[in-house]
Amino acid sequence: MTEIAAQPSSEPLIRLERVSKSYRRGGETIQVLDRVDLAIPRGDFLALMAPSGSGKSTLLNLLGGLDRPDEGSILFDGVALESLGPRALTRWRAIHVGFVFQLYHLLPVLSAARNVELPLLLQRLGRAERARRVAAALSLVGFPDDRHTFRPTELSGGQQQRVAIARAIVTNPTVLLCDEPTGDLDRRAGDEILDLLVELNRRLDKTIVMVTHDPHAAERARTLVRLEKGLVGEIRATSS
Amino acid sequence: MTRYLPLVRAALARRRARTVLTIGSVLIAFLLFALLMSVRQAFLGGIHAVGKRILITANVVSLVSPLPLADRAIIASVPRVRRVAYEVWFGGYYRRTGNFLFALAVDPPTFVAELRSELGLSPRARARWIADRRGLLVGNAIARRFGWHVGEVIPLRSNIWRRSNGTNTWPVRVDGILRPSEKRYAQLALLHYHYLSETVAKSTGLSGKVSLYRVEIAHARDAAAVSRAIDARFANSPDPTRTSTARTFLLNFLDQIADIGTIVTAILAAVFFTMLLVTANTMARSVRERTAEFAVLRTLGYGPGRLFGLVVAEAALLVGAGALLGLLLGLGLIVVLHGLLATILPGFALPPSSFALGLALVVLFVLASSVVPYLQIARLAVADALRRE
Repeated sequence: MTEIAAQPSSEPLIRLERVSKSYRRGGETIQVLDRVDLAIPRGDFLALMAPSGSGKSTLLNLLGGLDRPDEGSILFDGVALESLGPRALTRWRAIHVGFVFQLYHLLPVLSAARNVELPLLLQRLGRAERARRVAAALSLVGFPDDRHTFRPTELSGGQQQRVAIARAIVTNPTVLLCDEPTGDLDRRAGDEILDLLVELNRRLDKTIVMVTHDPHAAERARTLVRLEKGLVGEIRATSS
Repeated sequence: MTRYLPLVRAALARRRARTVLTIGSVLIAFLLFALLMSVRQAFLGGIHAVGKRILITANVVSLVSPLPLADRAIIASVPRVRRVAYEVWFGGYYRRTGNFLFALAVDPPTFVAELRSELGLSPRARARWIADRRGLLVGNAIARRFGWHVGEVIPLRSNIWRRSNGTNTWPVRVDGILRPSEKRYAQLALLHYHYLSETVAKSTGLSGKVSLYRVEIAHARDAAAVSRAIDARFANSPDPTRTSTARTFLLNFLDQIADIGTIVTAILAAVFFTMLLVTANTMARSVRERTAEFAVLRTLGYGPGRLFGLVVAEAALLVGAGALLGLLLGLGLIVVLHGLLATILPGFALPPSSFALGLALVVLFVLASSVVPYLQIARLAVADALRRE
């Protein structure tokens, strides 16, 4: 059991209430999250820091509706995710959540622009409108215009991550969930990506939840939450 | 749905060699399908066109054993019989045995009366042939092939009968060229029965005898009763008969060669089953290799149903492309072979119904090959798949 996050702002965008999650591995039950309470205000940039295996990716998956808690509730803008059926959850995810992964997870057979277009295919938009939004998203993340048709394998790690971020924001989701977004990049490229996330948070007021084990990256967020053995160990505002 | 097409195309382009080989295997299967359906059509296609009011009376022993011509009057006296024609299989060829002709020696007035509308023969030519004992009617396919014209005298040879003068050649004059509505009649050559009967060697035993009778009845519903009545008349004669509908007769005759329908079905079943395994394996492997990609698409808001739709579209493109190419190639080959096989298999052509059957097979194989991918997608644990990557 851990303490409730003391967040300064008004009604939080995301609220976790006594959320528990465990896995069975080799006949053994591993408690990954244990009655976690956490509130994430709208417009926050929150970094989740934890050692490996302490449940930070699990928490991110729960926040994104990719997994369901064993116990407890996750409220997103007042809606309990566990009350949504599979279809509604998929639709909710398409509207509200943008994912950014450590390994970018771009589709290798598609160009950068086509990758960014993927979430837009789910919306009833014409080709021209999709192209306009793709170009805007790629421009926003600082992706070079002359590389829109390049495939992921033809891009650097930093460029791939920019494409992945563009894909995550192209539908203008409510929250960005970033799983070690700089984990596969060198320091310089990583800093550029962090700059970009900070920019998205400050300029566009995007709520960002970032999982990281890198203290340097975590310091760029507004709020730092430490997870320890399935519990929220520390919450504090960073110097950013 | 077209907006997803680049995604589907890209998925197929992911492993080009495998995609090309799979399309190739589907192509071969549908090429075989087209060719075998054409062979089936050549053998069995005419059966549906056979008149339902036509009965065939033949010797109960076999077709080789003829029946006396005197039986005609007895058959004609059976109630509900409208007309009785007869014919002899001539076994004809022109110059060399390779130039096989579908030649029959018939009774001209009754034959023409039965097939007046189907033969596509002008009244003048019909009258000329009936009056000309040595006259010959030939289908336009034969006339075109050998360059025959009306009035030309042809040395027609038989590989069955010999003349009383010791030769096997019957000089005949082309009295008319058939331009029939049905392709099977385009390969016919018709000569007078009496010309053959009167000139054939006595030793052949054909003189005064016929191979079979074609019996026209008033109503198709009477076929069984009339057949029984005819056979009853000859039950105690030296030449007992077996009467059946023309369709049954033709099917029994073809069965003596081989059960074409069963053979074609068996080969196609084996080919398509193999094709199904190949396609299903391709799809299952393709989806398994892209587990992480499907997981990412789930994070973007793609539901399992939409992902399954994408997989079905991939399978449809794969099987559809192969099927289309196979059928087109098959059609091309059939056009070429149609000319070469004109005398042996005159009806060698892809029946239009094959396209509907082909389409049904495509749908069936797309759905069948999508079953395993469907299960893979339905069981996809997104978080696990992303973690494994």
